[in-house]
Amino acid sequence: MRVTTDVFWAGKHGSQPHEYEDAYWPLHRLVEVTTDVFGCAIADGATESSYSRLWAKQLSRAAGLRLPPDEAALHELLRPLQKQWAGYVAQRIQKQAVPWYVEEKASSGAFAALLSLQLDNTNNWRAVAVGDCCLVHVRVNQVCQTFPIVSAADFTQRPYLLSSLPARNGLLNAHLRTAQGDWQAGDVFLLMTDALAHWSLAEAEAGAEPWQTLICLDPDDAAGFETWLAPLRSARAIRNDDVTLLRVRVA
Amino acid sequence: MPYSAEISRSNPTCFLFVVDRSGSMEDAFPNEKRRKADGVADAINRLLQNLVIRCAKEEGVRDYFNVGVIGYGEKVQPAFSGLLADREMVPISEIASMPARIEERTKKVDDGAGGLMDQKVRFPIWFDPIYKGGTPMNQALGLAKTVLEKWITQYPNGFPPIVIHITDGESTDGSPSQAMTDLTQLATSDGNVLLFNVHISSNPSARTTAFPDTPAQLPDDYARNLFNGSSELTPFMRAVAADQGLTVAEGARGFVLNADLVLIIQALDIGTRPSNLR
Repeated sequence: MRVTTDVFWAGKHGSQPHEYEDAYWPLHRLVEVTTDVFGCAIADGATESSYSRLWAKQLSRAAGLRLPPDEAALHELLRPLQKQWAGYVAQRIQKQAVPWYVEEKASSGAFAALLSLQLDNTNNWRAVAVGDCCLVHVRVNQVCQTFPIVSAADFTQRPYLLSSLPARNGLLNAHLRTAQGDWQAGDVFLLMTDALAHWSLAEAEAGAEPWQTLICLDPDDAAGFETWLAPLRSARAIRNDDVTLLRVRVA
Repeated sequence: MPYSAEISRSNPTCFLFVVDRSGSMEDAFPNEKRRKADGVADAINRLLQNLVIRCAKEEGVRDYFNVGVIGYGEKVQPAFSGLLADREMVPISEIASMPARIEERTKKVDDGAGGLMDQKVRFPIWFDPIYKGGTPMNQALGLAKTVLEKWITQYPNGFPPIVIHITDGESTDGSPSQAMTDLTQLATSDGNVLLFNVHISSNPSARTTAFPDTPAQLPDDYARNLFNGSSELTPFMRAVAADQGLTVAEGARGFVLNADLVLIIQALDIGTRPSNLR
């Protein structure tokens, strides 16, 4: 099985590059591998929590390396990450004598949406999601499946997300989504954070072909992605949020 | 669509608290020993803390909001304590870094074994209880209008300012109806100023009420006047209220009677807010 991935990302307009809080795995902009099992993931750190970027990076890396197929596996994956996150934050707070509000905010934990995809050489794929990152499976210009959100109207500004605090993940079972299917040579999987996913679903519902647009983006032209995005943001067709697209082609 | 402007550091919105500090605020809440003025000061300090925390990130506080507090009683004037005294409108990052003082208080928390235990928490203070003089509500709403006119000149395309007016409702300089109307006729390109009234009533027949869509159940003319002057909740605010399990009808007003208004603070969109973050 030969897998090629490329990634496009853009921070929220008006913010600094270091404030980008989405994350993706693999980390490289362009990856081409021949393998029996391939995993990847994206995560979207919540604006309203602190140290979300770190949390999103931890989640995407861990779930990209090993897809957690069910709730028990996800809890198992989360436990060491939560310890690492808490350790890092405690150290930062202690070292820097941070103001009261940084400490108070950090005590509420970090939150992020997660979407993880795994392909194997038996032509099967499976995916796991918590929150509002989306996957679209495209075969010869046709959508085979969208997951976990299937309609633009289903996006909310208050999604259930994975927390760095175990106590905040109490309802995880009710919010964990899984999907599976088969792949054929030439299939493309688009993994998107919420703003882009919302736009795509709305466009498709209006009869346009957003998947083709996304599949045709030039991987060697990172600036071109921002140029493409800017007017859509200005017209408020795409919400001004961090945007990430991880494209996976399989052959 | 009104009330859809993005709230960002380059396009912030503002909160203006207008707070009754008249002599009648020395009276106790119905069936409580606590003075109204003390309860209101605690509520405002908690709201300010909530606003700061919402905007806080690991690197500092992002200026999504500007905040002002006007007090009215013996005097009608900006009412921050400490280094922010006399400031009409302050970016939230400065609020965060300049509380007048930080007190230590105790709160009840889950002890993990089915009970409650006391936990010490830091409680920043920006606003102190004062209760003296009459209730010049019209004069206060007039000053609020002046402050907001200036703000709107600076941010003509911002999410409209939100005024949170807290009072026991007995104006001593005439009916506030026209002043409330004048205030809510101010507008940015995104919509009119939103006025939310918090009524602290000593009327024995007053029942705790939050965001009603009719004044029918309100106990007296003071409450009805404030209800009539209050803005309707925006659709986004209603959606957030529904997410939190509150039943809020279309046409619900930003009016509460002897109840908490923290929902208004939480119901502004500055980015993804996880439903499991409380």
